[in-house]
Parts: sequence; C-alpha cells; structure tokens
Amino acid sequence: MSTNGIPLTVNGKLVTRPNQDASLPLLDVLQEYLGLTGTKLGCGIGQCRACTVAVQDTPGSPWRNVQSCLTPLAAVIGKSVATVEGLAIGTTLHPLQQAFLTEFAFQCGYCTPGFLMAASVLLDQLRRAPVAHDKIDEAIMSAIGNNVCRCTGYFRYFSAVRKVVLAQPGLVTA
Amino acid sequence: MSDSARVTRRQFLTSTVATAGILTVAHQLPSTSPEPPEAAQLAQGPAGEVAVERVMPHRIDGLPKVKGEKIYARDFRARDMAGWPPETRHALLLRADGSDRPFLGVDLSSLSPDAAPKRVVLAEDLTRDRIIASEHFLKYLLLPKGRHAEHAGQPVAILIFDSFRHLWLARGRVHAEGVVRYGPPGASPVRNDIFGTVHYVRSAGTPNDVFSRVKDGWHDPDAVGPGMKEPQRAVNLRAREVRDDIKQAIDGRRWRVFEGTFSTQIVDPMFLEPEAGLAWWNGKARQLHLVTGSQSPEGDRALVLQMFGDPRCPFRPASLPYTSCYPGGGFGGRDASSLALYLALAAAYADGPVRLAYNRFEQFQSGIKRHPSTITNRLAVDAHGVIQALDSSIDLGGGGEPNLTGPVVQLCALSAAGPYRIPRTVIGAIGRYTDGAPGGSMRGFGVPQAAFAIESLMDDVAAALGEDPIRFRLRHVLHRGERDVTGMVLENHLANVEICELALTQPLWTQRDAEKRRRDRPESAYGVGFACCMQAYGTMADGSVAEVGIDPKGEIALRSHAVDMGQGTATALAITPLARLGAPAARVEMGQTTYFDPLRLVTKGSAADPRFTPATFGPSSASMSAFFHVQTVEEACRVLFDHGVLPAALALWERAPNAEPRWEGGRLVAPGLRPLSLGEIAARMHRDGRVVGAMVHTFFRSRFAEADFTVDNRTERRAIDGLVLRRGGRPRYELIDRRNVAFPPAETTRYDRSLYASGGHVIAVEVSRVTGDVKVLEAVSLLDPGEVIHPQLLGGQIEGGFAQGVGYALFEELPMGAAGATPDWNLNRYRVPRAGDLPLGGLGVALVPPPRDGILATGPRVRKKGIAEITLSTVAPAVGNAVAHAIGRRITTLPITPARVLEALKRS
Repeated sequence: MSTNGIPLTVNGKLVTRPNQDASLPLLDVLQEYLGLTGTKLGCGIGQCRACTVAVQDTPGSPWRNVQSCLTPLAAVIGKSVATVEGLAIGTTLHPLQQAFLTEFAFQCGYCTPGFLMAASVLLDQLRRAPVAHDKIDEAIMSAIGNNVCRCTGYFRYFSAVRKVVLAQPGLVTA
Repeated sequence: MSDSARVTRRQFLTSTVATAGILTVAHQLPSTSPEPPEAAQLAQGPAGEVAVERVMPHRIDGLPKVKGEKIYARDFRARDMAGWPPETRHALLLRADGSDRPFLGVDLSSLSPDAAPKRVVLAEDLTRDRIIASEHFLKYLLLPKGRHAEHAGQPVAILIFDSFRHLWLARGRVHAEGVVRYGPPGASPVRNDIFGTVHYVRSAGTPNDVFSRVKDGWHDPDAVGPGMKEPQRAVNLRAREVRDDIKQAIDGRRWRVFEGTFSTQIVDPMFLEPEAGLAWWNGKARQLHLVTGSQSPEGDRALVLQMFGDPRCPFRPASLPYTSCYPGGGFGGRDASSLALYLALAAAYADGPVRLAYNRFEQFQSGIKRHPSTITNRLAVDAHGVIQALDSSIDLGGGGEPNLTGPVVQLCALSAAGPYRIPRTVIGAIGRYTDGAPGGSMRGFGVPQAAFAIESLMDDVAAALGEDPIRFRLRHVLHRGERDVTGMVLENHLANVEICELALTQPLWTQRDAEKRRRDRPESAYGVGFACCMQAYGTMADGSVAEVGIDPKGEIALRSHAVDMGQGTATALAITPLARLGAPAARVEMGQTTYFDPLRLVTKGSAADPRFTPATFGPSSASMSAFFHVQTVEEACRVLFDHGVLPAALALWERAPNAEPRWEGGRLVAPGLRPLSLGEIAARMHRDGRVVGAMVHTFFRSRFAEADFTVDNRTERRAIDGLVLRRGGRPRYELIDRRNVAFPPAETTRYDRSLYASGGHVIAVEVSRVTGDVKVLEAVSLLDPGEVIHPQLLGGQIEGGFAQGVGYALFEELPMGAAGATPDWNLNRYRVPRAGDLPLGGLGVALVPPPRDGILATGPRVRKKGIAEITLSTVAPAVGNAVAHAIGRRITTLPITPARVLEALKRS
C-alpha cells in the first residue's frame, strides 16, 4: 500500500485501486470495480472454489490458486492475478477452454472459471515439475478435487484436464 | 381433497395473470452456434443419421461460458444495460431469525455512516403503497411490526445502499450484530396450515376398476361430514368404504404384510450461482426493468404484475421489460422463487437501478428446498409371492410457504407404489406447514422421497421371500396397457421390464454375491443394491411455444420460452431443425415470453375460439425439454418445410421430383434433380414471399391437440393448436386460424401424469464397520431416454443426476424447523459431493433402445423422453439397498450417515 494506491496486475494489465479497497475481497474488486465478472461467487467462504484465480507473486515464480472470495486485495499488492477473462489469446481459446467445450465438461457453466483457473495452475506446476504417468490422476485430484460442480459428476472435467495434460509436451515424465 | 391441493403447478404460475395491456419484453441472452451452418452441412449421410456430435461439437451456450462472459444474472450491473442510468444501488434483505418472538423493528444505530443504507423499506411502506402479497408465498411480503414471523427467515425489511462499499460494510455487521429487534420469547401462533393433500384409493377390477380416481373422480375418504356437498360426499363415502375394505384385508390373516417407515431430509438445490437480479423502476416511463435468471420467467412476470396490480399502487408498471439470463444451475430451485418479487420491490424504492444478490448464507436461509418426508408403507403379499395391496401414508414438510407443496404432494403420492402393479392401493399424502424455507419444485418433485420408501421395502420383501430383488420386481412391474394407481391405462410407451432386464445382465449385479465374498473384510463390508422407478415427465397439462425462422442466407434462428439452466435445452433445440431443414439453428434465444404474443393465445373460452388453448406455457421444469420443447420446434420446422423450403425447391427444380426429397450432406436431394443448398433455397423462399418463419404452440394432455391449418391452399393436419407465419419480404406476422381442432378428450383431465421414463441404478458400496463411512465404488445408470438427442448432453444429465443422488443418499441435510433457516448455513456445514466422493470413471450406462413406433399411443411419432429427474431418483434407494446388502441392516433414514451406519451395526 502506498499513498498512490494499491497496484496489482490483472491479466497482464497494471491496475491501481484506492487504499480504502485494501480489505475488500479480491473477488469483489474484480467484479465491482474492474468489471471482471467471470470469476464467480459460490459460497464466499473458500469452500466451493468457483472464485479461484491464479496469482503469481513475482515474475517467473510459480502460479498458485487463490480463493478470491477470501483474499483481501491487500494480499495481492504488486502481484499478478490471472482470471478466466485472460485465458484466451484473442479468439484462440486456451487448450483447457477448448477441452472443456469438446468434452462437454460443464452444464450451467457457473463453476467453469474456477475449474479453468485451478487447472491452469496445475499445468504451470507440471511444466515446472512434470509428474510420472501414473501420478496424473493424483495431480488432477489435488488441483481440482475440491472444486464444487453441482451439475455434473466431475467425470468430464477430469477427463478434459487429463487430455490436456497428456497433449502438452513436457508435463509428464516417461 | 382439500382446496389447497387443487392448486396445480400451472395454476400457481398463471393464476395471477390479469395483465392484459401490460407490455412485457423478455429475452434470454442469445447463443450462437459453435460452427456456421456450412460446417453442419459437411456431415455425411441422410439427415436422420447425421453424426450429431459433428454438427454440434459443443454446447451452443458453451463459448461464453468458458470465456467468462456476462451471461448470468449475477454478472450484470446498471452500467452493462443500454439506456439505464450507470450507477447501481444494492439491496439487502433482513430476515427474521425465528418465529418464536414478535418483530419489533430494525435498529441500525450501530451502523457507521459509511455502512448506512439510503433507504429502509418496511411493511408499512408496502401497506401505504397498496402492494399486494401473493397467496403462494407469505401473507406479508415484509413482516409488520408486532407480529411473529410466518416462518424463520421471513423478510422484515429491505435495505437499499448507495454503493457496493456501503453494502459490503453493512452486510457483515447486520448479520454479526443483529439489527433486527424482537420482543420477549413466548408462545408463537400455532401454525397447522395444510398446503396440500391427496388420496389415491383404488381397487382393481375386470374389465373396469371397482373404484379409482379416474373412474370415480377426486376423493377424500376422510371428508364425509355433513359439510361436504353431494355428489362429492357420495364419492368420498365410497372411497372410504373401499379404503376400509383394503385396510381390513391387509390387517387380516390372508396375506403376509411388510411394513416400513422411511424418512428423508431437507435438501438444498445448491445451484452454484446464488439467486440474484438487477432491476430498474423508470418512474417517468412507468417501466419496470427486470434482469434475472429464473426457471419461470413467465410466472415471475405474472407475480410481479400482480404485486403492483392495485390501480392505486404508485409502482404499477405500464410495461415490464424482462431480461432472462442463463441461470447458474436451477434444479427446480428457481421455479416459483420469491427473488423476483423482492427484486421488484427493491427497485420500487431504490430511486435508480438496484441489484439484489443473495450470498450463499442468504441462499441457504431462504431458497427453495426439497421436501423432507416420512412415508409409512405396508405391502401385502399373497402365498404365491404376489403383491396384493399397498397402504401408504405420506407426510411432507412444506416449509413456511405454500409454494409448490400441493403439486409435489400429488406427484409423491402418484409415485408411492413405484413402477408396480398393485391391485389394491390406499395412498394418503399430506404436505403441511413446517417452520423454515419453503419446499418446492426441486429435481424429482416428490419422486425421490417415494422411491426411497417403496424401493427399500421392495428389497426387504424380496429378501424375506428369498427371491432375487430384481426378479421379484420384474414379476410386478407395470407394462404398457396396465393401470396405474389412479386407474389410468398407461397407454404410452413404458420400459419398466426393459430396465429390470438390463439390470439383471449387469456384471455388477450378476457377480454381486461372489464379489461380496471376495471383498468382505472384518473392518469393511461390500454390497450391491438396485432400485428402479418410472418418473413422469411433463405435468397434468402442458403448453409449449417456439418459433423457427430462416434468413435469406439460409441461417436458422430459433426462439423458445424454455430456459437453459445447464440441462442443455438450448443445444437440444438447436439440433432439432437438422432433420427437416438440413442444418441446426445458428442462433437460439431462450426464455422468451411476450415474443409469442402474435399467437394471441387465451386460456379462457372454448375450443370454438381459434385462439383458445387450455395452457399457454409454463416454467422450465418437469424434465420437459426432450419431449415437449423439442417436439414444438419440430412442428415449427415441419411448417417451414412444407410451406417454405419445399415450394422454393420445386420452383428451383422447375418440376416435381418423383420421390420424396431428403437432406443429404446438407443439401436437399431428389432423384435426377440438382442438389440444393439451404442457402439457395432460402434465398428463393424470401424472393417468392414463401413462409420463412413459423411460430407454433403445442398443447399436450396425454395426447397432443391437433388441428387443420391451411396455408397457400394446402391443408395439413398438425399436432399444434396455434400457428403464426412470417413470409419473405413482409414484415408483419400472419395469424392462421385453425380448423377442426381436437383437444385431448375430457377424460384426460383426470389423468395426473401420462408420460413416463423408466430408470434405475445398480450401485456397489463399501461400508466401513469402524467409521460407518459409506463409499460408492461403482455404479451403472439404467435409463429409458427414447431417442438420444445428443449423447454428450445425455451423459451429462446421467452423471449429474447420479452425483446429486449420492449427495442425497449420503451427505446432504438441513435440519428441520428454524434451525435450518438460520443465516449460518454454508458449504462448511452442508456437504455436497466432491470429485473424491464419486467413482470417477466408474459409472456405467445402459440404455433401453428407443421405441420403434414412438412413445405415444395416439398422435405424432415422438421418440424422445424427458430424463433430467429420473437420473437422480433411484440413486438413494439403490445406495440404501447396497448398504443393506453389505451389512445386513436396513437404514430407513436419509442421509445414510456414518452415525446411522454405526447405530445400525449395533442392532442385533
């Protein structure tokens, strides 16, 4: 925090919020003041993970999952935040977005941004530390196993993430 | 039967429509096809055999959902709405914690200025402004001072804040500090309201029933006092006589009687998007704008208009522009919800656009629930092991408001005997006031409760008779042509036999005893259970509307009143034109209401009036999409083909083909003639002033209404009762008067449901004898969906229904009474299934082949069934039966928690 407000980077763009926003949940800052409503409120207490965003503490450091409903803006000062709106590059969907579509992974779609962001963090982790083939399911469960989806039985989300992990080179050791 | 139970689901939603002259504009945010229609035309083979997954490679509403675009009601603020003032105010409902103390008022003195509301709306404001409460919710929209709450959670005030920051600061404080003031606790008024009762007394006979609902009419064997008027009293007396005979027979020594009492819990739909909406009362224009995500836009609109219906009400709108958003899940919980009422009230007093968005605590406290139940069943079995009688007593907790408890009680009672042939049935059901949030239309609509009771007992009877539980069922399941508990002949397709036969062949079932021997351990027990059900889709009488249009380039656009809350209706409807028009819809707009005004439908009058129909259209519920809404689009496509596509093709070919033209690879072909693209045909349709848009209405009550429609001198009999056309080059709609209409015969008004999908589950569990935990290991979902519209959409419904069923069986529970309506329920205490609770990759599916000749005994050849609810209803009883197989003890209460398992294990 400084007299000039609270700086953070959201989807690659530097934004500054007034100091009085410091204790506001990151989710509310995204939705109310930055117009980014893709990140969703489900429970508001960090249980359902619909509000998951990815946060990078310093350039080049690993991305991590953050429950934006529980995280005050002050906790991400100077950090990079990635939301679902930043996943696609122009009209090209992120491989996870494409896989969720083609696998019919979601129904109402409200939980989808949370799954996307949690799974995108998994991909970043695997790029840095690939897992053995027989550990893929464990890694996926660890990444998205706590996200709540009420419409589906999770099967297709898991299948979609698995396909992306296997399709991207370097995420799985031989 | 009491008057309250006579309020049907449809009446609930239309009883307030006294809104002539009110303009309502509604639209659901449009969705665009994932691929241009040309891509669809690349698909190979005749239209009926086109690989639908190539044509529709993902949901039509998929792209905005993966991109996080604004499509849910929760996403919108005033700044997003064209022509609105940019600033959004925020509303918060204050609710009574309990009903045991009188409400004295609201004390906001503890709020600092930065958390103070700009306006506090109280009951006296509503009284002054002559705002009318709906009988289906509460007597008071806001509780007046000095009164006890009608139920815990009843709203007492609406706070309106200037900014989100004010709301955020205030929300935490009002809940933490308690700003609602009460008088001393004392005796609260006794509430013993009955929201619904129903009786089905039936004694079968040959060829006619001795007594039944269909043969003799509605009856209440307990209402035989002098106050009851004839001839109803005579019917009731006869019902009483038959009931007593059946009960006497059950109590006699002739049959072996099996009795069980089964209880189920309150469940929250837990759709992931808590209810929310945005509204603006534009006083100058007298317009009330609403933006919500509801399953019942038409019902919401009607209820809001009724609320402001007094001519002296200052907020009586001249028009009601309504934006219907994609709901973030629904499961019945957004059907007849009160959210729209409070949103509209907030708008009335906000002096600008206002947002009302529940958080999860508020959603748990106030949202619609699945009814808790206590059901006692007595099954009487003769010496040959044949079920002779059922005595079923059903008690549902309705919560604190009538809502849809009456219709739910009815469907629960109708399903009490399961899919079984039982010649004597005495079924009595009641839905009563219980403190807390209202029970309503949650997925299953009373059937999951009934299925848990009857399917548990069926297993116990089979075990006592020493018979395989599925073979025991197979001897009793209803066949097409037999009578249900109302005495109605089940004349439409029924697949109970096929479901049981499929189940018998499942390795999970055939190997169950061998696996049990192999897997049982001192610390854990393995078991496999089965349960089946026939679940009605549709209601007692259903209307549906759709419009299909083709633009000059051959792009198909489609509009429907249905809402897609995730079940895939938008995609299913988009696929439908493929068969008859050679391409899917490129654009679909759902949740339309007044768009269909050109049909000028009325529900008062008689069939002689070509505008009359018994039902216009209702909420998106009751598993209606695959049969009703798809069929309606199909009928619109037929009209377009007959009066648009075909005449234009003939004009292009300049001669008649010698065989019926058909679509092949996206082109209309006929022997010896040049294949025509839809684009070429469409251009000609528009140039020649042919029919380029067809808006149709269907009505179904056991069979479709039919009528003759003459267009361009060609008369066709169609399974529709209303038709409006658009022609190329002409802006105006052309209303076609029907002739020779045939509505379903009067006797069908006695049919409570006539369409059924059958289904079941075989489920394997492991039960820990140490912790009491039940783990679902593997399962097979057995289903009778008819013709599959899209395999991926069907798969999603099967998997999602299964997951919700597991939650119902094992985890989810809200306490009865005020304790379940406090503002401190959330997912930390209410456990919904996560991925780790489900057998990922361990859910098999076995489908009954679609009926070759269609589902209906009379009318068009329709082959698709509604299955959104049946995918859930048999999970809990199958889990219960699996647990019983595992540990040799019956657990009769849901959810089957570790504590209940350990308690059962202690029983000798």
